[in-house]
Amino acid sequence: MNPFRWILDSDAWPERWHCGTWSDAHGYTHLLADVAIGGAYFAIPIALLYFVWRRPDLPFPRIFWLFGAFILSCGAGHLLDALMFYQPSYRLLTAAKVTTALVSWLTLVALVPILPQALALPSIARTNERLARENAARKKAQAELRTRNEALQHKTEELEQFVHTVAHDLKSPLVTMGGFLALARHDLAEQRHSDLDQNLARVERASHRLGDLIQGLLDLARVGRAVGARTPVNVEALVKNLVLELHTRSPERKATIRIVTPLPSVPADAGRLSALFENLLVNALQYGCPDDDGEVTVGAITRGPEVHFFVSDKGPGIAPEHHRRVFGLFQRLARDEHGTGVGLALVEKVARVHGGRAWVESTPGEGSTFWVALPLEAPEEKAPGGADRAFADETSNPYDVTPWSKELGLP
Amino acid sequence: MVQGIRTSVSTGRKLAILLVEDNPDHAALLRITLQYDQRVERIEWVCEPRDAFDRLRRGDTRFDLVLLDLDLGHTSGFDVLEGVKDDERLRRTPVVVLSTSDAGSDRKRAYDLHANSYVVKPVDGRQLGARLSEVVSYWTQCDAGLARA
Repeated sequence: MNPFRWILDSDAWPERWHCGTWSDAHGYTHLLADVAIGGAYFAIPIALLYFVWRRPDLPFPRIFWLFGAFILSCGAGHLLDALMFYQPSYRLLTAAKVTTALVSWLTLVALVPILPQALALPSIARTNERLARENAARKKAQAELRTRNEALQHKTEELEQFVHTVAHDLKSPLVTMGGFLALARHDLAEQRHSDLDQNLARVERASHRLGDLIQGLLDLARVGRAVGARTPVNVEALVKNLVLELHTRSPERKATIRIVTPLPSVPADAGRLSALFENLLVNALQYGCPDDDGEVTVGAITRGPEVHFFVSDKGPGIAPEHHRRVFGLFQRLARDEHGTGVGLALVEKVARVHGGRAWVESTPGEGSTFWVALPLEAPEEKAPGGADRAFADETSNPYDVTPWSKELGLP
Repeated sequence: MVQGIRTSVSTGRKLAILLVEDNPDHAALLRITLQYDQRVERIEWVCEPRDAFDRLRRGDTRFDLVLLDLDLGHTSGFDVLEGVKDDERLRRTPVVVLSTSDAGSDRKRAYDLHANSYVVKPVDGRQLGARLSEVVSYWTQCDAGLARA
C-alpha cells in the first residue's frame, strides 16, 4: 500500500463525533478551541521569526528557530485533533504528535546548556543603569577636562602676562642705561664733561635696580615651589627675631613695632614663612611709617580652621582700587628707589603655596592692615603620580602671580 | 607734486611737546635727547596723569604733540590716552605712545583708544635718539597736524 495513503487512511476508526456522545455545543466548542489554538500556534512562530530576523543582535538565535518549530508542530497537532471529528486519520495525528515530541525534546536539549549563559545576560534595566552610570561618569570626566582645559588656558594666559610684565619692567632700566650711555658717549665726543657724572650715576642706579628686580624674580620663583614637608613654625619667635634683625639692619629707623602675643604656631616651610613676615614688616616700615614715630602692630586671630595674621600700620593708607593691585608683581604705589614691587607679590605667593591667601584692608588716611590667612592643619597630601597631580598642584608653578593688568581687563 | 608743496610749507614748524612720563630717568633722557633737536620749540614734562590733563585743558599753552608713557605707576597711561581722546577739545592733539612694551595686546589697546602712533622705547641709546628724531620729523614735515587747518 502507498505509505502516503496508509498514513491518511481513516477506515479503522469512526469519526470523533461518533466516539461517545457529544452534544453539539460540547463538540463544536472542543473543535473550535482546537482550531483557534492551532491558528494562534501557527501565527506565533511567524511573529517570533520576524523578531529574530529584525534583531540580528539577539543572542542564541538558533533556539528561537527551535521554539518556532516546536510551537508550529503543537499547532499542527491541535488542527489535526479538530480534523479527527470528520476525518479520523489517527495515524497522521500520531505522526504529528511524534514530531512534536521530537521537536520539543530537541528544544529542551538545546535549551539546557545555554541556560547558564542566558541567565548571565544582564537585564535591560541593569544594562540601562550601567549605561547611565557610565554616561554620568563620562559627562563628569568631560566637564573635568573642560575645567582643566580652562585652567590650563588661564595659566597660559597668566604666564604670558607674567613674561610680558617681567620683560616690560626689566627693559625699563635698560632703556635708561642705554640712553644715558649714548648721551655720555656723545658728551665725551664733544669734550663736554659737566653732565657726565650725573648721567653715569643714573646708569649705575638703573643697573642696581635691574639687579634688584632680577633678585626679586629669583626670590619669587624660589618661594613659588610646592611646599614639601611642613614643620610647626613658632611665628612669635620668628617675628621677634625678624624685628631684631631689621633693627640691626637699619638702627636709625625710629618706628615702634608692637607684637600682640601670643602668636600661634602654624605648619609651614619656616624659610618661606620668614620671607613672608619679613616682606610684610619691611613694607609696613617703608610705606606705612612716613614719620619717625611710625607704629606697626603684628597680631593674629584664629578663625575656624585658619589663623589670620595681620601687620598693620598707621601710614597714609591705600585707596580701595589698589587693594588687589598692590599684590601684583612689580606694582608699586610709590616711585621710591628701594622698592622693586616684588615684596607683596611674594607675600601672596607664600600664602598661596601654603593653601592660604593674602589681602589688605585700608582706608586712605587711616593706615593699612595686611592680612595673611594660613591653615592651622597642613592640607592633605595629594596622591602621587598621574595627571591629577600636575593639575591639582596649583602651587608648583613659580610664575603663578597675578599681574595687576589682569584686573584692568587687558586682553 | 602735492606732497612736495606740503612738505615745503610745513618745514620750519616747531613742535611744542608735552611729555607724560613718570620714570624720572626716562623723562630726563627724553628731554635731553629732544632738546638737541632744533625742530622742538619747547618740551614740558609732567609725571602725573592729573597734571597732564591740567596742562592740556588750561588752554593758555599750545601743544602740538603728546608723548605718553604707558606705565604710569598707579594710573595707567591708557587712562590718559582715553581721557584725551574722549575730550572734544583735546582729541585732535596727536598722542604718540612711548612704551617699553612691545606686546601686541598693548599696541592693540593703544590703537583701540585712538593713539596716533605707537613707538617702542629702544634699549639701544643711539636708536632712541634716531627714533625720537623720526617722530619729530614726521610731526613737523609729513603731517603738520592741525597747525594749518
